[in-house]
Amino acid sequence: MNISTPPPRTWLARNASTLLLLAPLLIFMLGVFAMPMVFQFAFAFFDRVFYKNVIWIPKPAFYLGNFAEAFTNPTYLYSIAWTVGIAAVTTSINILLALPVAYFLARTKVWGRSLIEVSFLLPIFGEIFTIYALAYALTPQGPLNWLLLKLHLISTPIALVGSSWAVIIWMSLPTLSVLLIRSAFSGVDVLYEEAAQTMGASALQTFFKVTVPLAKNGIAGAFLLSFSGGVGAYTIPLILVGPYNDWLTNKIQREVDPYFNFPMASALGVILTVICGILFYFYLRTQEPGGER
Amino acid sequence: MANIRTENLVKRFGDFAAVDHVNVDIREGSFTAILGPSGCGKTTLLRCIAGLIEPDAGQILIGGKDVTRVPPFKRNLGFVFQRPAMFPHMTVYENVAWALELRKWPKPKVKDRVMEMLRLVRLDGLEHRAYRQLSGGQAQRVVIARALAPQPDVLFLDEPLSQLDAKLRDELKLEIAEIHRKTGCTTLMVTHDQAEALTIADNVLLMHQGKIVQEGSPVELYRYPNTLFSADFIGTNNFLQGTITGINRNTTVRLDGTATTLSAEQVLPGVPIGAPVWVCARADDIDIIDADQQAKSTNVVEATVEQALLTGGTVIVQARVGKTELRIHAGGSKRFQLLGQEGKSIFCSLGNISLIARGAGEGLHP
Repeated sequence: MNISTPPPRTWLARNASTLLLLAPLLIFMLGVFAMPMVFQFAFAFFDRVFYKNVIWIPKPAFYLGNFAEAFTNPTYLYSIAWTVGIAAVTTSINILLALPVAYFLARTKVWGRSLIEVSFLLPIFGEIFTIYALAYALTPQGPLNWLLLKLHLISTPIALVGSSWAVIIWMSLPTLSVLLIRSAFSGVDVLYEEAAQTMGASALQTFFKVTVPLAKNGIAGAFLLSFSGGVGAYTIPLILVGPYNDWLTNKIQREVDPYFNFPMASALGVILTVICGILFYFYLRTQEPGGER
Repeated sequence: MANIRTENLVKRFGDFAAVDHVNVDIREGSFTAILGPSGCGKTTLLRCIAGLIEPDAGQILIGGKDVTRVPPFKRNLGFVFQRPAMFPHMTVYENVAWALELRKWPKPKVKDRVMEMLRLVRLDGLEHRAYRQLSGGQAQRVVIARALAPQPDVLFLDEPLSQLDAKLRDELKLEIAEIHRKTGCTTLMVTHDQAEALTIADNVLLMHQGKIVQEGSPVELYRYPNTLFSADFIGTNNFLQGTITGINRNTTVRLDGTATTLSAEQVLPGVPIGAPVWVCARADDIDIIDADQQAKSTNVVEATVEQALLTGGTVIVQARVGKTELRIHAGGSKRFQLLGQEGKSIFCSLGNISLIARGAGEGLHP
């Protein structure tokens, strides 16, 4: 009997169904995410001209002046440093606060646990609502000042709203990070913790030498998400501090609105994206296989 | 090294008493196996003694010190779990060394001790391997080395071999026995595998429904079970009803409904002549004998073959003595003669029988 080999199928034929399934999302992402990114990137290198002595308009060019400006002008430099610095500090506080709560949620069976967990999502779903609630809580007549006055920790109410402290407090509050770290902790086998205890490790030693290292992928993910949310926050500083704040996002907006400087806004946007990109690279490094067999 | 004692230890899960007033007294340096069927509470008992579970009542003493409310990390123990609990984020060396660092061993001593322990479990040369580069048996050996490195008072083994494949299990079983012989560390092992318990341990605690039903050396447990449960749980046993007819150094028993008299090398304390007993005859101990050998053999009964099955090394014979079924595991070259003998009569020497007191009118089979 003659066994005939079927003709080799083309790459397209072999992957047709995969492509078909991916197509809707792929087209959508290309249209609303990749394309604007490319435009923004191109725009960042545009020059601009004073059109008919009336208005500045972007002029296609390969011009590095926007980036040079961003890294030499103290206003921009300060804004970049401030945004990244605050995001780094608040994310660290955020994660440190989230760790014990997440561990508690992962290891104990408390009544209404799912309710507690959902409540951590509330600030994300109803962001504007919760921001205003926080803004109220921090007013001179608000509950926080009332409590501090009652405890005699302060003698006059402190003005938190309108200052950057309100944003720092908001960003330091753990929300989604609690849930991300909780599921990372749930994935750590209790076996390892018991083993550590029988080896002579106290609860704290077990937590920092066994549980946290084994959950590091999830914790790194929570850090990345918090940090990129921090550097990219726009509404929160706008509402809690006001339009003239130091956050880079708001700076970008002001480049566009009163100054009509699209190339500069794009360049700042690219810088912000690159900062997140660098962090994402380090995040991917932590996700490299290790640990499980 | 230390001895272990528990006094009226109780652990309940809801209404269910997993450990029900358990008193154990484990000698220093011994290798004790807690043996029992699934759900008998053996793992709970072990975890209570190790401190991983807090008991509801009773006391635990390790080396004479009351440790009932002492957290496990202060008990100076080693624990080997069912699944290899080697930390996947540390190398073999780091795993063992951490156990020593936690107990504040000086740096130079740590290295020597780690290498010594790795040699003991035959993992020297693999100290820089990660978890994913080891087999299950090797990972389990790392845990054993890690548990023994800081010279614990007690080593706990919670079914350490059950997750390994058969060949590896046999290897590691002998290795554990060897390690115990070398270190002399008091060892407490939980197992549901009787062969494992009888092979490695020098002392066996048989557990059933949260209670210790029998304690003794493997030979004692095998030869003189004190309850129907022990007799039934270990090995394959036959239970025949008898009545004591005479007691001196041995006990003579007449099988009920027959004229056959048997002799057991055992005297049941407090059981008088005329008392009903269970006669336990192990399927492995029964020899098939020729009719003319009867006078030379002990405890001979006549049985009718109902079925004979060749399983390879042994022939399993299902026979009948009067109304009672008798299961025989026949070995040796004679076993082939039994095949196809259904309905025929054979003579069996029951060998070393053991006796268990029986309540008057107690049922046919446990």
